[in-house]
Amino acid sequence: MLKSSFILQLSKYWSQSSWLFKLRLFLGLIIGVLVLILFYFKIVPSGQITYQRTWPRSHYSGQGFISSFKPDNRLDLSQKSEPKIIANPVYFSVFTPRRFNTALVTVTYQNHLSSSTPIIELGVLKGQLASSYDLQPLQNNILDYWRSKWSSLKTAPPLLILQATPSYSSAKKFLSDLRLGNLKNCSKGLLSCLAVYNYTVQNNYSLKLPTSRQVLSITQPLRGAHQFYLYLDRPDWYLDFEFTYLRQDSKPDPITVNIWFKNKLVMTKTIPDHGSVEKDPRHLQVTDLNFSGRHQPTGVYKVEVKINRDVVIKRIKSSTDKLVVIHQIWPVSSSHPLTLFTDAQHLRVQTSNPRSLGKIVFGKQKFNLQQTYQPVDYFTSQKNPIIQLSKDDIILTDAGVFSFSAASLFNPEFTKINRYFQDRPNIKYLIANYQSPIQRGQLKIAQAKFNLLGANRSQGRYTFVISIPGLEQHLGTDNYLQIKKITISLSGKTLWQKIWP
Amino acid sequence: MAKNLALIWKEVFYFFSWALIIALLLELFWPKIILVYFNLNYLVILWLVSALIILFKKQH
Repeated sequence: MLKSSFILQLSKYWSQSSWLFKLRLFLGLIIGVLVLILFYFKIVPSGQITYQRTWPRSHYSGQGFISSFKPDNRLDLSQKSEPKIIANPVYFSVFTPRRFNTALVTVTYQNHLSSSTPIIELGVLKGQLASSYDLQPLQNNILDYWRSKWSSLKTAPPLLILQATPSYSSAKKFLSDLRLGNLKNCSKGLLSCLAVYNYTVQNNYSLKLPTSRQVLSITQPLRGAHQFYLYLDRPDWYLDFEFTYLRQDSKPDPITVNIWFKNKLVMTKTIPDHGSVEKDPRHLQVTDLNFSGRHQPTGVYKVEVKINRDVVIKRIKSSTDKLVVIHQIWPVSSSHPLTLFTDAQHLRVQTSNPRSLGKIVFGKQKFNLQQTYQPVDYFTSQKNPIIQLSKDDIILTDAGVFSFSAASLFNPEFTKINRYFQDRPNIKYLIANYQSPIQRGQLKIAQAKFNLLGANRSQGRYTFVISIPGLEQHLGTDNYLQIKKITISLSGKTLWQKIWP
Repeated sequence: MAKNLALIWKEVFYFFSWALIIALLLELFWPKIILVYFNLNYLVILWLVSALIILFKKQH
């Protein structure tokens, strides 16, 4: 009764009101509805949303959610609406109105890359450091090649297991033996017969190295972030770092050292810093971080030294001589020629200092570093080659490890299926988390899934990278990757889950 | 009829004025909430055009 009288009153009021009032109400409702729609897409109450961008882009008046590729000098912009990626890597960002938990990225592309660039990866930035990308494969031609040559075990995608000879008939048995560290036909140990790609081997396999009573003292300063493997076989141990601040800028230079064992963080220490305007080298600050322990399990520990380029590791002291530098080393302030040892047969060398140009010996072959800022690749057929540097301030990168003595050299990592992977008779198994892209005419479609929890989100943007190792500008504009479409499906908490967690 | 048309244009001007104010406030508190979808310059142009039409009609 009350309801019908209210409706009656409303309809009477509506019929009596002027056309101007009705127009005003109508226009006001349009604004109200538009604001509600905007808030709906801001909150994303369902927790699921998809953003897409195509190249060329159809007319779109807004900024869009997916940015253009940067930097411009790594793109061929002769057709601005359809840029071609001609150098590695390129970055793009995705604006999201709120945080999400996972992202499924689908990339549609045209591949005009040569055989020297067989791998395409997509990554999302995790953490603050520029090198902290969680990379996932889009295409790996090496794996695709071996998939056609070797037999594969039936597994749930994206897991891929290939074997040179049909030693196993089921993936379950293979994975069970892998966990025990005891694969068939692997007489020399797992490390020598298994190659991996985008896969972390979870097993009880432990590297056993000869016990050494030597202590280690590395006085060669190393600049910027470094990672190390440390082999501990004694219950009492210590690891000391001494740092120097270069203070070339006034930005804060915090120092964090993490120690990991079997993918678990066992120790961490941080020295905060508020920055300084002191640029006089006589006022270089020195600080140290010390670690020690008793009854530590025997095995390989990973040590992460997270520092900016404005900080130098001045000295390292350890109770064990089994300490190696992982993948990249940047020696500086060396008063004498430097000798390093590595287990990799490919070396990438780069310097930004013209005074560091000159001769480099790698595996008894002499090379001449002639240009600054241009990375150069050197190859050798020698096993465990020696590197001799006459100058310092050179960044050395390889897929293996570096050490300061032959006795210290060890590598606990499995052989990685990267662009330098070569078939070796002892490699009998390949294991990877990888799905080949789908071919659609001239285009390929690949997907990668990311965990966005912990991903860096700055000003509402997640930063992504497209990595094509080996793609260099000097290779010319005929060697390129052209992205046609990127679709990002984001998934996160629903509004209900946010209100009532 | 002309009077009604003038009133309509006035309402259209008020509509664009309120739309612009609300859009700018939304952008102030939640950056990019509108800009990812729509370039606000177009709204400014529409607001200016509606203002110019009212001024033109007032003069004549």
